[in-house]
Formats: sequence, C-alpha cells, structure tokens
Amino acid sequence: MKNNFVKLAAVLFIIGAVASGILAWLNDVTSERIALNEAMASMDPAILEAVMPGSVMFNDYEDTDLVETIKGENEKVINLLTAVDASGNELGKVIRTFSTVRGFSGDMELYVGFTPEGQISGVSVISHQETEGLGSRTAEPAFTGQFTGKSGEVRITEDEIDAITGATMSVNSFVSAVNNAIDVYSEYVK
Amino acid sequence: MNKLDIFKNGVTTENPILVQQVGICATLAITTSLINGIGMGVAVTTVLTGSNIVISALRKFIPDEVRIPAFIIVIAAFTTMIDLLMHAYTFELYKALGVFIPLIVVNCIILARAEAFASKNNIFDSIIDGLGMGAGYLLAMVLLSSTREILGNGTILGFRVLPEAYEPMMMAVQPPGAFILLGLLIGIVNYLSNKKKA
Repeated sequence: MKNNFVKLAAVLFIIGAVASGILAWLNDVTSERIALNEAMASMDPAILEAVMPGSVMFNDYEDTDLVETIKGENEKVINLLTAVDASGNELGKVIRTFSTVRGFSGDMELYVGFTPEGQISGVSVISHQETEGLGSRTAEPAFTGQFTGKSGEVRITEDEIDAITGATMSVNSFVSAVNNAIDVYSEYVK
Repeated sequence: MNKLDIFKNGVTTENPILVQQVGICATLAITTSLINGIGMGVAVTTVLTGSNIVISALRKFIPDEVRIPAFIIVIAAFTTMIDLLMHAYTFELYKALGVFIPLIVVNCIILARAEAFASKNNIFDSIIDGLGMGAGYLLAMVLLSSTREILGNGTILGFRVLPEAYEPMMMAVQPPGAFILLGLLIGIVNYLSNKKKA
C-alpha cells in the first residue's frame, strides 16, 4: 500500500515536472513577442492620433513620485504620460485609466488626452470586454469624438453626451473612466 | 471501429455541441462573430488532439487512481501553450477570445475524450478521435457564429453581406440570442437526423 502511494505521487510529479518544463521553455520563447504585442497595442499610431492629434509617442511622466502618489490614492489610474510630436515637443498630458463604474463585463481601459489649455484633446479605448456590436460601439469615433473639446476640469454628466441604445452600462463605464481622468487632471496635473 | 467511423462519430453522431451539448458556456459567449468561432474551434481542436496524443501515449504509465489529475495537468499544459502562442502570434484574436482561452482547460469535451477514448485506445485512433471531435466542435461554432454575425451585425468575417438599410438584430449577438439560436440549430439537426433514420 505504501509503495503504491509513493508510485502514484511519483507519476504525478513526473508529469507535472515535464509539463512545467515545457511551459517554462515556451514562456521564455514567446515572452518577448508578447511584451512587444502589448506595447504596440497601447501605442498604436491610430490611437495616439485619436487621443492627441499630431503625437507620435507617449512618454512616461518625469515626476515618478507624483505618479506613485496618484496611483496610491486612485487605484484605477494606470499611468500618466506626456504626448510628444515627431520633433519631441510636448503637446499635452495623457492619463491612462480604468473605468470606476463597471461596464457590462468588466472595466474599460482608456487614454484621455488633455491639451495645455485644459481641454480634452481626445479619448480612446485601449481595451474592453463589452458586447460586440453593442457596448463595443463606445470604442468607435462616433462616440469617443463627443468628448473632444470638453473642459478637462469639469466632470462630464451623462446627459451631455449622446448615449448608445442598448449599451447604457458600457456608456456609463466609459464616462466614469473619462471622469476619473478629469479628476486626476484637475487635482494634480493642470 | 474503422478510422472513418471514429472521425464521423465526432462530427455527427456524437457532435460535442449539437448532440452532446458539453462545454457550451464558451460556445454561447464567444460566437458573436465568425472569426471568433473559427479561432475558438481551432484552439479547442489543437488542445483536444494534443492531449489525446499524450494521454494515449501515457495510458499504460498513468495509474488508474490518479488518472484524472494526470489528465488535467496534460490538458492544462496544452491550453497554456495555446494561450501563450496565440498571445504572441495572433494578438487580435487573443484579445477577442479573452478569458475563454484559459477556460479551455475546464471544457468538459476535452476531459471527456481523454477519459472515454484516449485512455483506452492507441495513439493513431486517438488522433483521429481528437480531430473528429474538434471538427464537430468547429463545425458547430462556424454555424452558430456565422448566423449570429449575419443577423446581429449584417456582416460575415467583417464584410457587409446585408444592405446598410438592414437594422441589425441586436439580440442575436447578446446572450439570450445565443441560447435561442443554438436551440434552433439543435432542433434543425435533430429534425434532419430523425428524418434520416425514418
């Protein structure tokens, strides 16, 4: 009986060890490409253009202490960035944040850009899990364009924007993310 | 059982979705567009065939008492491999399928084939069984996801097939529509198979 127990454990151990070994190797092979994909996805030129027209790159904020403070107080904020054009001139600030109100399925992740004058330069969705054809339409320019030009210091109310029929939860989630960025902007950045 | 029968068994007689109706959670969730349906179908087929091969090869090495945890380790390893590969090489599809790729681990069709077929048959037959069941799964996914994409979005693989004037039937891409359309699909399949028997 005791021998049998040892054998069972040994077999499972061997299978587990071999599986882990293969996965560790594959993880090693793919990790670089995966990191590149993720970086490209959040730095897609079309997204950069939509958030801050003319920008070619979003750089991390120089004041890392400030970013840490904000992240400590506002757990939905992912990062603060500076948008720069091809010759390296700063065009404005960009806040990367999750929504504070849950959408139809999970948080939405957005970039919200602010011009030096304190207006919203553009908003773009980085990732969401909303229903295809309904909530996913919040990611389309017809919806996101409504935020361009609004003040970056006053929270946006839901009746200021044209909602999408059948996607109320996604719209509320989207607006909450923009408002979260506005809160951070008006408190720390402007 | 000859080889062709093993394959046909998965596609028609014991089709995992249309007949056995196992693992339909992911089926209902991700079949909102044809590309998702195909992607998920191919991912499941790969994991199923891969785990069938390994489990069949190890069937004399794995003691009966620990066979279920052993199968799960093998299935989880294959699923994680697919997850990593899709994340690296088919990023758009990976984003669209989201959490349902890791959930392939708990898709009962895979454990069911390991237990019912691969652990009792030789490697070659197990490969055919995996491909047959995978093809049956893929077929059901393609039927359901193309119907939902046409009705709910008026497109197929992103190309417009219905005129702009068509008002998309929103329910088709929402969960209730998935249940209704899957029910209708199963009804049609039952009708056809009963007619064939008669």
